[in-house]
Amino acid sequence: MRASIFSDYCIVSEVASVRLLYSKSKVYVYRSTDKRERISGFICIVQGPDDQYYVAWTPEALLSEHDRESYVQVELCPNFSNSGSAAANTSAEDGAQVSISMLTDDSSILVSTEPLSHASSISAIANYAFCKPVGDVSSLLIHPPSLTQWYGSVILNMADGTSLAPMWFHDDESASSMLGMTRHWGGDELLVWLAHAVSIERSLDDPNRYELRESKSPYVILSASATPNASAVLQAPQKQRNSQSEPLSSSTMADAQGGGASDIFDSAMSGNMDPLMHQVKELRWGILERFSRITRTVKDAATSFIETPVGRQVAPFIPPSLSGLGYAQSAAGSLVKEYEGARIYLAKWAAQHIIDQQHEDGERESRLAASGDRRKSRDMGPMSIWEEWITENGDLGEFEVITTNQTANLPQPIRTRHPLTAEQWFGFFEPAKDAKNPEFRMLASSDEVRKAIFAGGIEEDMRPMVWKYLLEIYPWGCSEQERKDIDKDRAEQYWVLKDRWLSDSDLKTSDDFVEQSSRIEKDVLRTDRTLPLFATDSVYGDDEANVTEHGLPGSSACLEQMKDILMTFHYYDKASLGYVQGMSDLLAPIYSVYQDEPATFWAFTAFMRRMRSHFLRDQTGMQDELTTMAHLVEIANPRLYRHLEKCDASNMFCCYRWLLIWFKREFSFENILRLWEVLWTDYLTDRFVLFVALAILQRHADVIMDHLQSPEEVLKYVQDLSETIDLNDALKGAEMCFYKVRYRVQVVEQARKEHGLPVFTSTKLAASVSDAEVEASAIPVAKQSGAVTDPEVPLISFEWEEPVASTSTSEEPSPALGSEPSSNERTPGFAAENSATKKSGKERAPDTITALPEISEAVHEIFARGFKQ
Amino acid sequence: MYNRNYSPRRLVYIKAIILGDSGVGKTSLMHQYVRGTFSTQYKATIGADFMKKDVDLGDGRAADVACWDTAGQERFQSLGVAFYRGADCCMLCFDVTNARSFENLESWRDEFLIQVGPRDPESFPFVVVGNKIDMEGKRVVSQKRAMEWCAAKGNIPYFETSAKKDINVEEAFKTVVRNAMDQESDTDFYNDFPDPIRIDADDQDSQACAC
Repeated sequence: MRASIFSDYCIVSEVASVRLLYSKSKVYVYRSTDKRERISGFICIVQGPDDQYYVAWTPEALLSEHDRESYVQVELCPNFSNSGSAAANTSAEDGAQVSISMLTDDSSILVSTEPLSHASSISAIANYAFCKPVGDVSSLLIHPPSLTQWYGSVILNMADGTSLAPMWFHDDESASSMLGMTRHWGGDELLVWLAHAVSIERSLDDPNRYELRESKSPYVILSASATPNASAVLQAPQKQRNSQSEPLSSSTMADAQGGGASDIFDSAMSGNMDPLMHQVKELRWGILERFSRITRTVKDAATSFIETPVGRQVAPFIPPSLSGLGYAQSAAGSLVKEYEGARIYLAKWAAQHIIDQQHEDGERESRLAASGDRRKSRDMGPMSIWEEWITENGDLGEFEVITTNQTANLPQPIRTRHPLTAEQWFGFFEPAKDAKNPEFRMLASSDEVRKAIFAGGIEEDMRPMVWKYLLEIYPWGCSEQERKDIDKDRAEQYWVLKDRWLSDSDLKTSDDFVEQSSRIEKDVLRTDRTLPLFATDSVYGDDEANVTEHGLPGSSACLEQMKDILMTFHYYDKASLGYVQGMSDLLAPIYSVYQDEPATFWAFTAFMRRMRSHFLRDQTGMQDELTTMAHLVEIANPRLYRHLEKCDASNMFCCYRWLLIWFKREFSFENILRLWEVLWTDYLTDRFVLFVALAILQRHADVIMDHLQSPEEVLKYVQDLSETIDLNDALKGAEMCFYKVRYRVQVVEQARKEHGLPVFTSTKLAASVSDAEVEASAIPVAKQSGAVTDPEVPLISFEWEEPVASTSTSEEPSPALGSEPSSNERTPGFAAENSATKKSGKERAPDTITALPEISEAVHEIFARGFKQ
Repeated sequence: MYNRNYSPRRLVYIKAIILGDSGVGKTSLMHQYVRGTFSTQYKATIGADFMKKDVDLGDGRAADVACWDTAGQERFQSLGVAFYRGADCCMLCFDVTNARSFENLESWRDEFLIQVGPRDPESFPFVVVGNKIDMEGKRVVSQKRAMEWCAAKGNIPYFETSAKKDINVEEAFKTVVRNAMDQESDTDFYNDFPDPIRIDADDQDSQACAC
């Protein structure tokens, strides 16, 4: 069937040619909550030959490779050149089947019609495509990102009363954002661009709604004609605005250039493309810079999101996948009544986007990795996200600069996602075993091997052997014969140990035995029972009968082995620790790899050596983990830390389960194997698990800060992230966090040294000297711009000078920022927020005193050992 | 003033802690109470978790109850202080087929009172729950023995429950929540409400000192 897939939507198909003015990639329509049901497309503004403006969305899949490139080209260089060749190019052989596709004609990029592929799967997607005259749009419902969702969305409300599907701006995937062309989210851009074509006013009733008034004349963009309404929108927050009716473009230009810009502007008009595009970028930047202040107020308004009826607007969008959750049953109703529940609920809803995002990042990388294209496997997407997150959350206006000279680049994460193959693994060893080389020792250094495993883990088949190295059962340099001897000795040892408690009839009647064996039985019978490996086997019948009979589900041969291993461990280790709840969780993955009692036992025992502190009777080990975790959050994301403090959650108990059993309950079983082998490498630090936790918190920092207000809420939210976390994303983030925190610690320690302060604060002394210490460390610090005396600002606070050069000046057209504080230029990410806070910081009195943060001993020690990179 | 009929029920926040030995059915009791479900696939609780439920006590009072489920090994009690804080009531659980779990009630109660430090430990709202009564043939703790202990501890209400068969679960929770609310109204009931919004003086203030 060759019926038009666009006929209902696309007016463009009938016209000879249109001009693409603006386009933005990676704007998604969600067909359902399933992330696979998301359609990536381009939002664009086009100008038809009738000089009417259209706003259109076209699925990426409908575009040819060539078209796509052209769209991206426009995205990078929005074309509002009014010059040059009349657009008279068409290839509409089949007017019924079109996309809004691109042709390049000299310097003008045109939109014209072009046949599409006819794949039937495409047509379902194409149903979402639209192309509407801007005049038919009555209003935009705009939800910026990061308050209630990871991605911002825009809904077009049409004059006929209909609404189009929300468009989600996945800015972090889009070309213009990735290349640093813009630091504003797509919805703002779209709004600004639409403001060229039509007058837009923000609704008084609903701060998220922008109402479109009458269409403007076609040449308004570059003509000097006034655009009063749009100017009002765009210029409202500006103080030194001369007149409301001053033309938007030239006035902005004047700001950017300090006057006299109109000449440039005119010459640009006469067809000189490059300078124009240069100006265009600046112009746009200027507009956006001002516009960001508007959106800031929008955001402020949205801060009280749930207290307003606006909060209810999200109810229809709440994914059904959440409806199984505890709060969902009376969700919509409770939004108003029950704030606390609503907050967690909204937080979860918001988190859905984060969750989807990290999976998408992960999948994209998988695809790239699978295609083996290392060149294209640029880490830019996920990397830049992390940059943004860390920067956005960490760099606030009230922080002060303590150093500006360091420009060291943070290392790139080395995660490759390629698990180590058998071939690679044996490549670390002496050449193939033969008469001449009987020993078959590992030749590679343990660092090299650890690094490889840290980067991608190990292929499943190799785990039994490799884990023995990681768990130090095999010494790194041992020979084949030695390995065999070790295995044999260990097996014998195990049977002796097991026999010791098994054959001791006195012991079996002791209280301890009775208590521990029943505890171990109960725990083993509730460990990972959904795995086929641990399912009840035929000997033990079905679970229902077992529960009725014993109150516990049935057992299996494997579970019986697990019990014996834990009992043996209990008596082997009884002098110091014995069995403690949680250990069965730590055993199961190891058992699944070996499925052999002695091997599992020794691997588990080795693992428990490093986990021992978590299970101490007085819980000091866990206290130390949580305290260190809090310090790391404080360094990595001071704003989040302060929020947690405010919520009374800075004891980090929300991470208790994460850390106690190394995320065993948070990831799938398969991912736990991967996570643990990475953690066992100790490649960057033997406390890398803390950075994994930190990375996950970073991912969710905005949601936590926006929605959660009590320790209960934080705990609930964090624990409910279970099984939503993408492992690779978390590991990569953890690596980034490690480098970031390390850098910051170095900066602080350096500064402390320079001021003659102790480099780190001894944990033992902290309690007694902390007051004096704080006094002593309050030292003047050279300022770039202003300083802080505000009592609101906590002592431990300062601005981190980000070392990553690429995120700063080089990417951004800075001239338009001329009048802004210089600090703005250093701040990538969401300048809208930062510029506002920085400004307030700047107004404070200069030449005052700020305190250097303290570095706890535990944090110091993490980074004190020699760095690998 | 608000129309009394229109104003929502007085919603009081109640934090209930569920304590008891490992495997007595704390998580099952909580799930049965909050969600009305039972599964044999629960995992040993690590740290603590909680679920919330709106409870209508049927006497014009309603409560927003947070049930806190905790790890059952005494080893983790030292963490309790973080999770127990602000507790309004406590459910002490044992397994009627496990004598030790009953004998340990005493230490669970004592430790809890130490950590929470209520002003009047004698009248702190507890409830004792003997779970797994569906396994009648396996019972080793008699109702009489349990009730005697409860009587000796200041007449703690006692319920025999089955989280699996949903016997008495709701009653046990309701009782302890009701007792907690009685305590609340006896003491500083209104402290649990957020500060009322004062629309006169404060408002003036905030406008006056904009500089």
